[in-house]
Order: sequence, then C-alpha cells, then structure tokens
Amino acid sequence: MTSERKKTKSFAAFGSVVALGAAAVAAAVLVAATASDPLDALRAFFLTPLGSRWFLGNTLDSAALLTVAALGIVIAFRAGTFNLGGEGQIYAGGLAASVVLLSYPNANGTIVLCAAALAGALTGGILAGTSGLLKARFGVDELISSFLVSSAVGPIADYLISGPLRDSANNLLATARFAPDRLLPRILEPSTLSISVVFALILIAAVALVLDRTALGFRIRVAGSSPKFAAFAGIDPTKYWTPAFSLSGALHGLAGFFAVAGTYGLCHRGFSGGIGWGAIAVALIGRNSPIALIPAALAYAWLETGSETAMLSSELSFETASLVQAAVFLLVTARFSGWNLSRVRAFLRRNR
Amino acid sequence: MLGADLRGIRKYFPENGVEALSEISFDLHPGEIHALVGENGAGKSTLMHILSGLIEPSAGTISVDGVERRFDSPAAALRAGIGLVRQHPQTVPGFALWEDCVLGSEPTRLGIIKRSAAREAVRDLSCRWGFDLDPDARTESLAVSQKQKAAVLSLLMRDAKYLLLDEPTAVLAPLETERLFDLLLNLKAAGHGIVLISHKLPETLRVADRVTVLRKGRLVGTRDAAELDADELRSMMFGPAENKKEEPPITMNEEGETALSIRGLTTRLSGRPLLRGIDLDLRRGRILGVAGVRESGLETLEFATAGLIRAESGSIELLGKRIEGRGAKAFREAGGVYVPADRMGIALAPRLSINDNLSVHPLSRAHGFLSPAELWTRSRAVMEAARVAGDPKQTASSFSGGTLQRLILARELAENPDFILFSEPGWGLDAASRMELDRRIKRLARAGKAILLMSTDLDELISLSDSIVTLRDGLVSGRFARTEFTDTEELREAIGAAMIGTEVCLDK
Repeated sequence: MTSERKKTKSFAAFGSVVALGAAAVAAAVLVAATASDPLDALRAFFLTPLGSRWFLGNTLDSAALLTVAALGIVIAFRAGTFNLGGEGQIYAGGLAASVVLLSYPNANGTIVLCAAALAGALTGGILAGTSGLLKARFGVDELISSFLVSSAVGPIADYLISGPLRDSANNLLATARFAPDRLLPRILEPSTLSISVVFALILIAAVALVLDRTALGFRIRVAGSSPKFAAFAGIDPTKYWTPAFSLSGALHGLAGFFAVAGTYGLCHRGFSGGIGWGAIAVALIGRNSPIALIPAALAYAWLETGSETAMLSSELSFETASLVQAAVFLLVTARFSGWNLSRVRAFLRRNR
Repeated sequence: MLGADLRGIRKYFPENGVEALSEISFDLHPGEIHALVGENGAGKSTLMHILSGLIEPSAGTISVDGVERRFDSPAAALRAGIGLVRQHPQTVPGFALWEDCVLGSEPTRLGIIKRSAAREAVRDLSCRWGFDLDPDARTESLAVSQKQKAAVLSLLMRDAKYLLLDEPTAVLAPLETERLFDLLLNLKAAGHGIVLISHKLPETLRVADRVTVLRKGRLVGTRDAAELDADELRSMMFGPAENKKEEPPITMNEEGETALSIRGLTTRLSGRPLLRGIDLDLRRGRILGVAGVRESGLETLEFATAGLIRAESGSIELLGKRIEGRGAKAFREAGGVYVPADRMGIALAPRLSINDNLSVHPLSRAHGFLSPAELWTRSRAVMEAARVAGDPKQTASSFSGGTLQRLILARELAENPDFILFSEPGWGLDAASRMELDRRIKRLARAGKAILLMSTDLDELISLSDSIVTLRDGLVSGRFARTEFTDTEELREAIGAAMIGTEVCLDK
C-alpha cells in the first residue's frame, strides 16, 4: 500500500521532469532531422551549453532572468490571477531603467543603478497593477487586459528605442551603452552572467518565505484557491488581486532591469523577446512553487541555449530553434490539462 | 440471468490507505427498488460509484444481465444500462432542460442537432412518466428536486434500465420526496431496477422491496423489506450495542439577553425582491428554527446574516454590533460562526490540505510569520475533537462528506462563538451522527449560545427549536413557539401549511 502511495506521489513530482524530458527528445529529433551533420548538431545542442565558461555563464544568466519573471507569475497565480502581460512589463521596465541609467551623468553609479531598478519595478508594477485594479473594480478579465496592455506597450517602446532614445553614433536600433560604473558586475567573464543571479536567489528566498511562511501568504493562497471559502472566513479575495498583480508586474520590470543592466549593457529593440513567455513555461514546470523555479529555469535555459548553440554551430535554422521552444511549451501545458496517472493506468490496462 | 450482479467487490484507496469495501456482494433485479443503507463511511456511495463506472473496483466482478462487464467510465456503464443520479446533479448553466437531458447523445442529422426532435423526445418522455418538467426551463432555475428528476429523465433518454440514486431525499422537502417516490414506483412497475441510498429509514422501508445493509465497508446482509421494521434495521446498521434511544424532549433554558436582532431586512437580485422586510429576534440560550421551501428566501437570509451578501436595506445587530453590509469579517468579529449547507463550495477549500482548512480562522486574523508546528498541533486538536483520524496533509476533497461536516463543526466551535448559524446541519449525516449532532446543538444552547437553525427538514427543526419562523416569498409567513403546541404532529402541519401557503395545490 505505501509503495503504491509513494509511486503516485513521485509520479506527480516527476510530471515536470517527464514533460521536460519529452521536450528534450523532441528537440533532439528536430535538430537531428534538420542539421547537415546530425551528430555534431546534437553535441552542440546538449553539451555546448555546459561545455564552456561563455555558454555556461549565458545559460545561468538566462535562467536568472527567467526566474525573476517566473516569480511574478507565481505570485499572481497564488492569488488566483494570471499575468499574461509579462513581455510588455519586462520591456517597459527595462526601458524605464535604461532611461535612468542614461541620465544624471555626474551621479554615483551604484545609486543610479538602485534608482534604475526601482524605476523598472515601478513601471512593470504600474502596468500590471492597472489590470489588477480593473479586475477588482469592474471585473475585467485580467488575462485579456494584461495581454492587451502588454501588446500596446511593445510598439511604443519600439518607437522610443529606434527614435528619441536611439544612439545615432552606432548602427544598432538601441540606446547608447551605459557607463561602465552603471553596469551590474559580471561574474563569469566573458559570459553575460552578472550578480543578477545572486539577486534572483535572494528574491526566490524572500517570495518563498512570504508565500509559504506568513499569514499574508496563507490568506493569498486561500483567496486564490477558493474565493468562496475565503469570503466565508472573512478574507476578501478581491483585496489581494491588485497588490499581487502589481508585485507580479514589479518582478517582471525588475527582470527587464537585470536584462539591460546585467546582460546587455544597453537597451536594444525587442530585448525582452521571449523572456515573458519563457517565464510562464518555467512557472508551469515549477508547479508554481518558488523553490522549484530554480531547476525549472535551469532546464529551460539549457534547452534554450542549446537551440541557439546548435543554430550557430551547424547552420540550424532560426525556425528550428523556435520549434524547440514551442515543443517545450506544448508538452508543459499538456501536462497541465489533466494528463494524470489514473488515466495512464486505465489506458495501459485497456491495452494489456 | 437478468439484473445487475456484483460479486466479491473490494475497493482499496491507496491515496489514504483506506479499504472502503471488502468482499461485497450485491444484486439488483429488474422491477425492484433495492435500498442500500448504512452509516456515513459504510461504503454505500463507493459501491454505487463502482457499479456506475465512476471508479474501478480493486477486485471482484460485475455482471449485467448475465454478461460479465468491466466499466472504465460512466459511459461504459450506461451502455450496459446502468446510470447514477447524484444527490446534487450537475447541469450546464445556460442550457435549456432538454438540451441538458440529451447532452452527449443528441439526435443528429449530418452532424446537426435535430433540435425540435430532441425537445419533443424530452417532452414526451417527461409526460409519459409524469415528471412534470418544462423542457424549456433554464437549468440554473431548477430546484434540486427538479434537477434530480431531470437527471433520471436523461438516463431514461439513454435507455438506462438500472437507476442508482445516491441519497436523493436528503435534500428534498417531504412533499417532493413523495413525488419522487411515486415516480420510482412507476418506473419499478415498468421493469426498471432501482437502487435507493437513504438515511431516512421509515420512508426507505415503505418503498423498498429489499434492503441491503453495509457497515464499515462490510456487508451485514440483504433482507426483504416486508420482514423488517425500523428498529431491526437500525440494529443491523449500528450493531445491537449502539442502538441508541431517543433523547427526552428538551427542557426550556433560561432566556438570556438578545443576541441577534434583524429589522426590516430586504434584498434584491437584479430587481427581484428575495427578502421583503424580515424581522427576527433571538436571545442567548435559545434555538430559533427557520423553515422554508426553495425560493422562500431561506438561503438569502442565511447568506445575509453570515455577511456573504449585502442587504439593500434593514439592519442586523449581532451581539450588540451592527454588522449589515460589513461582510463576513464583521460577522465573525462580533462573535458569530457559520456552518453552511454547502460544505465543499463555501465551508472548505477542497484543493487545500486539511491543515490549511482548519487553520483558516486563526490565520485570517494573524500577522507576520506562521508557526507551522503550532498550526499542526491546533489542527490535530480540532481533528481529535471531531474524532477524525487521518493525515492533516491530505487535501480536504479526499475525505467523505460526513467526516468533513464533523471537521467543519469542530473548527467553528473552536472559535468559541456566542452565536452559531447552522444551515442544514444534518445533510449527509447518518442517523447516529445526526443524533449526536442534535444533542450537541442542545448542549450549546444550554451553555448560553444563541443558535439560528436553517433547515428544510421539519423533523430536525421541530425536535431542536424553541421557536420556529417560516418564510414564504421573502416574508415571514408564520411564527410558532414550541410551548404553544402539545402535539408535534399538529405543529408540523401548521408549519407545513405556513411554508407552502394555501394557494399551492398539493395534489396533481
């Protein structure tokens, strides 16, 4: 009896691993099928991300950005809401941070960095907070409103970066580079890994502590999981929507700040591409537990870097790389639509 | 051989290590009503879920009309002619009744639903069996008794020969129960086999041909209903030692100060008045019963008192504090607790753990960091008070309805309230738990608590309440003090008349 019970539990826990494994296999098949030298491409896909300081650092950096944004998804989800506007919140947050980093040329670099982080978080928070407020006040579906706001932010930010904020001295569609004292210190040169990874870990610990170990976190969980029960117990579930959604946006904005100040050193057009969606996948893989985001983000970033390295080393097309990400998404979300052990068992029994 | 036959059925739930059924044999003939009785947790529902394909047995065989079957879904059981009617049948909101009835087996031509044919088929069948249902009624407007009938109808549409009814009468008013029984007797006469799960023994014995008793997952026996009486049946269910005697009637308590005072309470739902100026008073140490049929405003009064809905006008004063329009928090801060009828929907978060569910009241007030150990000890204590064994880490949905009701009651009483709002406290409880609950409620009143008891079960109300008010169409239609009636039968009739009103025609 206990062994069967354990099996059920461990299967549930391994659901994410199975989904990721299947995604890796799907990726391998895609890579092998489209590359001119399949073996070389596979090696590039799976091993290169771990093989050098450059790629390892980039993978960890990408995982750090994903984690910060995914924490935002987790917070919103715990309160019973879904933030689909992550892309725009990251983009706007990063852009706002960049404006701060490019201003006040005579100020102290560290202080400007702190101000930029704050500006990024505030911008993301206000963007998302609007959707939370609309939901709490007027019952507007936050999934739609956050997505629409985010979609509107994209072109505006595009215009600002390629127009007023563009550095005409170079040919990029980007702002000027930030001054050296306004960059987050790098850890694993020459990769893009910066101390943002340390902040990501601190944020995970803080969010985990609040959500799982405080009365406030408990109330958010109750309100999110069963609004009627919350109301019965005198907890107003609508009260948590705006703060949780604002916090979710703030974390996305912070991820934008880490991307511009840590990863890129400038703000280029479309820098946020994919981080927001990747964060949703990471939050789903991590089953909305802050701690589990660490392995989830690492695995996701590994697959992502893998598809890039394979693309570079063996003329794999950009489309294949996108297909790999799509496969991960599909498999992760499939697991969430009721693919569970009892149905697998029933299926096996029928076909035995 | 015709009929459904279960042999050596075992069911083990690995999730919580419970053996729900062991070696149960049960058969159902065409043209009989077979009652299935037993305490909460005896395994009645589990057995019927197995027969209707909702869950699979760990061991044992099922044969239907002589053919051995294995059901991996309710659809498979339905193909063999077996269908289950739940206590609260699920319907699709926004659908007309006929759409709901044909859902999944719509008559189609080239993939297009033959609407008028389907509608006519539902109407014909409804008329033939005297269901008295309007095929065009919206499902959300149906009373639970009508939903049950609609569920039976939709099984008949699919040619189900064997109907399993899981405690249908627990949520029905006496008159509705009579109508349901008439219907079942008609179906039986036409050759259908019917399993009836019920906690109400006298009514069960009246309509059943045979009775099977389960106790703690084991078969006690199957007997002809004609050769049993209620006492004998009770001792089969609980064992001779546990056959409890009725409590002597309550003695009047000392009246205390006013605990609850409701004045002119009026609510509307999209313009339609639900309550039209309700006045109620309740003193400490008293039990006030509120009776009413569906749509009488009973539920609205319950929600408004507990702070779940906002009244349009009027006042509610609870233990000296005005609480109207201030939500459930104000209700609880004034010293009230609430044990609702809708356990899974309102009183619990089914997906959260028992520990979380039992910790909700202290944590809705607390600030800062939690002490998991302290919460754990607290939850354990509540479980002990409710005499529920098990792991507090399990989700609430993995416990049975009766167990959850005991846990909810223990959780609410741990708040040490001065006012308790009960709604249908006996729903889903077996006779023994019900008797214990009744004693508990009387003890609470004797200890000076004020108790407001909402119920559609007149027997429960009469045996517990010091006074009873009836609601009809959002108005108080009658006020009865127990002391004015020497004969409970007389009181019962008076209350029934006040609930239903004279304009309603009782027989069809």
